[in-house]
Amino acid sequence: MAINNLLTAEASVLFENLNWPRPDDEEWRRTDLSRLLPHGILERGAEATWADRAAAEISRVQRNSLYDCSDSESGGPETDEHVSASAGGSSEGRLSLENYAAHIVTEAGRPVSITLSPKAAEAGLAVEWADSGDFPESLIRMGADELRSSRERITAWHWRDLSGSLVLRVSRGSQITEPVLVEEHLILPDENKPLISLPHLHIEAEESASLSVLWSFEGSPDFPESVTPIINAALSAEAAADSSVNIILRQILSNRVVFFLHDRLSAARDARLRFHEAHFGGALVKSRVRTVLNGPGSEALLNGLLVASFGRHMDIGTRQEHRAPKAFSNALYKGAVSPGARSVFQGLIVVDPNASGTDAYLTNNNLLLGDGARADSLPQLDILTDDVKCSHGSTSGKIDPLQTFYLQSRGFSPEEARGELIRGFLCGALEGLPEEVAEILSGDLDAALAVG
Amino acid sequence: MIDTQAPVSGLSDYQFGFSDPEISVFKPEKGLNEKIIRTISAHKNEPEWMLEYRLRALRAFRRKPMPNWGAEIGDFDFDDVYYYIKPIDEGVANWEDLPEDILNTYDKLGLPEAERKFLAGMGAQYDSEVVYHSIKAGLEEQGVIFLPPEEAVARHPDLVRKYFGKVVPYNDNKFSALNSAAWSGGTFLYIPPNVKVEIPLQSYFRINSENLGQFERTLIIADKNSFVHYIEGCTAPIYTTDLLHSAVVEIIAEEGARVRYTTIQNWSGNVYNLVTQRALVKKNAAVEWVDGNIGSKRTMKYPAVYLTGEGAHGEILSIAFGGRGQEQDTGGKAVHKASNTSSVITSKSISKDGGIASYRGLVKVAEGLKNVKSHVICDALLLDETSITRTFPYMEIESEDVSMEHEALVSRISEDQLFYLMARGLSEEEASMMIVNGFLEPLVKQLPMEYAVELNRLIELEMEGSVG
Repeated sequence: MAINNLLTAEASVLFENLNWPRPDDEEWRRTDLSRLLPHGILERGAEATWADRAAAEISRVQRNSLYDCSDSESGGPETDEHVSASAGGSSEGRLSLENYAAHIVTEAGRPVSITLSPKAAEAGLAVEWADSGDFPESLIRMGADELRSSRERITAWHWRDLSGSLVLRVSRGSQITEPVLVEEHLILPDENKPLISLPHLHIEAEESASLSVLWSFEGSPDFPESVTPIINAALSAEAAADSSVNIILRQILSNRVVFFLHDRLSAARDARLRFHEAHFGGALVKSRVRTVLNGPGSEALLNGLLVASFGRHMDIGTRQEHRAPKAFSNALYKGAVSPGARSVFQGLIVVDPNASGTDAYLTNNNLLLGDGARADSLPQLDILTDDVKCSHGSTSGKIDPLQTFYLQSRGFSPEEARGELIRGFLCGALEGLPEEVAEILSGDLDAALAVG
Repeated sequence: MIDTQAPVSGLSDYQFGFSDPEISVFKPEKGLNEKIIRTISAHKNEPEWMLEYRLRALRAFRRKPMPNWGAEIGDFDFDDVYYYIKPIDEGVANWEDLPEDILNTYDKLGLPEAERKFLAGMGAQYDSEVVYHSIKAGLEEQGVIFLPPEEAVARHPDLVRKYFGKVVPYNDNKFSALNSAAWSGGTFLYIPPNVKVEIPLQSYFRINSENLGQFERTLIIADKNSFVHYIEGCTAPIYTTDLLHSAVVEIIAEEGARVRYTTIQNWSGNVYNLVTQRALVKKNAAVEWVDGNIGSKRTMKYPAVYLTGEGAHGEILSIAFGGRGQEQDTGGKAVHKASNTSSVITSKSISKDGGIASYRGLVKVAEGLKNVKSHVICDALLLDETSITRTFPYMEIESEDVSMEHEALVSRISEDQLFYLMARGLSEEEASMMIVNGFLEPLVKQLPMEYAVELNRLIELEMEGSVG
């Protein structure tokens, strides 16, 4: 089998040279995989995706021809039908091409359908599936950077066995007003095979372009007892000068799924990045978003919301790297943690010596919903120059009984009052979303709070 | 002969950098091994249990890894250190009885004068041994015990055995193991129930010999409803080689007691200062750590309060100054293990001339507690573009009925502020100084007056020539 790009080769070497993360590594101290995951599951998963990859190499030509037909030929009534036929999950019914610039469905990380609205295509949006042999230069560059800086086996696994990536590209000056919807579904594997998915989404916004993307992870509820599905996903996004990229990640996976996510965002001069993530499901979630402000005057807003109900372990991290002068970043993460659940927030602001005039903020607020809930918060600063305005804040607490009392005196039942207060606490992390996306996430939040 | 010239460039403003001729009546070879430990123990005529404790700690020290976080300690050579230097045969209770050289040192540091003016008792440690120790007569009558720990081991073995190593176990970390194996000197302080010691007690630690490691051991027991304020000061000469200071401080505040522990650490810029300080705070008791880190090359020190009884309160005030070649990795830990407990951590750091000041702190709330409050503030001031500040707070909350707040802010001296003050006729240097003082003010006002003055003077010295 030919290794078809240097990135894959580098990832394989790294994968061989590293161990699975252990709690003596600070990054993983609070997420001990040997305790949280069934024994040997990562090894078996990585073997399986390695074997799959080898098989995929052989059938590469066929796959290409299969997907070519749905990607570049945009528009037409037949693609509309295609969408409604393949769209599933909770988004069904709400979907129509009028609301979205494009709609892509992937199953276990591989594309099933790609539909692009003619209007968006005309306006400058391109959607394609790139095989690992044909990765765009920016994807390879960001991948290599991610591999080298993280030096982590789970990341190496993603890049080693990645057979292809969904690539969204907006051409110079194009304003794509409707969001792009990317839906990832898990499917039942063949018998005795581990269920592993390695989805990758790559976004390139050229100069002065703008784009919104909703990446949605949904899990079908009926996995057999013996299956522990693992998603090892990554996102890379590069915003060129003066462009604007808005990414929303929605995760409503069923409660047996293990979800690893590594995001890398980079912003050039005066570019604006917005990243929202909302985690409502999954048994074990380990997510890291790394934002690199490479250009002067660039801006990044990171928002996170997590609802950790009983039995879930959610470890969410952010990194705001200021490498250029006069950039602005703000991260706001809010979590509600139920008894029997654990949340970890690890945030870091790094300001390089040449990043003068930096403005960077980091806030983490946690609501503990009962005894036996555990919330760890580690907001950190690493500041290497003096001309900065940086602050971070963190709070952890319970629902204020006075507020509950007030709402009850106005006719709310205790449960309603509690629900409204939790909702009110969390929804600060939902601001600034496109309307249709805000509606979807708001519905998810209701559903998650109803459970628990 | 007194050598007041600092041999290391860039440290010439360190006013305690003089060294006096080395005096020792006993000085074994460098390095830490069982033989040295047995020798130290024999010199102190220790009971068997203490020797065994030391040997267990030595094994733990060899077994324990160096921390993979914190200040850059690099390849510090633990074998290139004298673990014990005995300066004189026996400690004294009158300054005049000290050998002239040692007395000279303390005169230059102003200790006898300070004692007369401000203190209820004082201990002075020179290299590995406490050379001077005295306490006001009235306190002794009330049952206050203020002794070098060696003497406490001999005279109050039951009391020592009950508490020694109980708050900081020997195998807690590599440096506590090191101290537990090689400890020498320090303070043992016991305050009987209901006794309030209104005037502070002080110990002063001075390293004089080259390549020495100082491992003093402090154990403070405040019995029910008692109060004490204990102050610790440290200086060392400037050598081109490195010195090691690794202390362990244990405080037990019994029900209703209050202990305030103030350290102004002004080690010279060649000292590795790796200290474990921890307090056990019982029902309705309060412990306050005031921790000033001005000197040293590397400091790793995180005073801790373990709030184990209902109504316990812990407070940590930390000031760090990271100047050229310095890395101050300091902060505080508050561990809540009982309901109705509260803690406050306030940290202020200043970085200058490429120095590094890091805040590292932990707030932990155990499961199933009610009404726990914790508030953490860490502010950092950067004085130039090459300096570095880092903040590593850890918050681990496992109870619902908690109010936990953490704030951190990094800033520099703003040009607007400077401009305003200079428009009012202050020079740039005076204006900067005023802003720095204002930044530290909330902490400085917590210090006893004479210490506040001292600290301001130290900051002023550190700040000299910082504008331009």
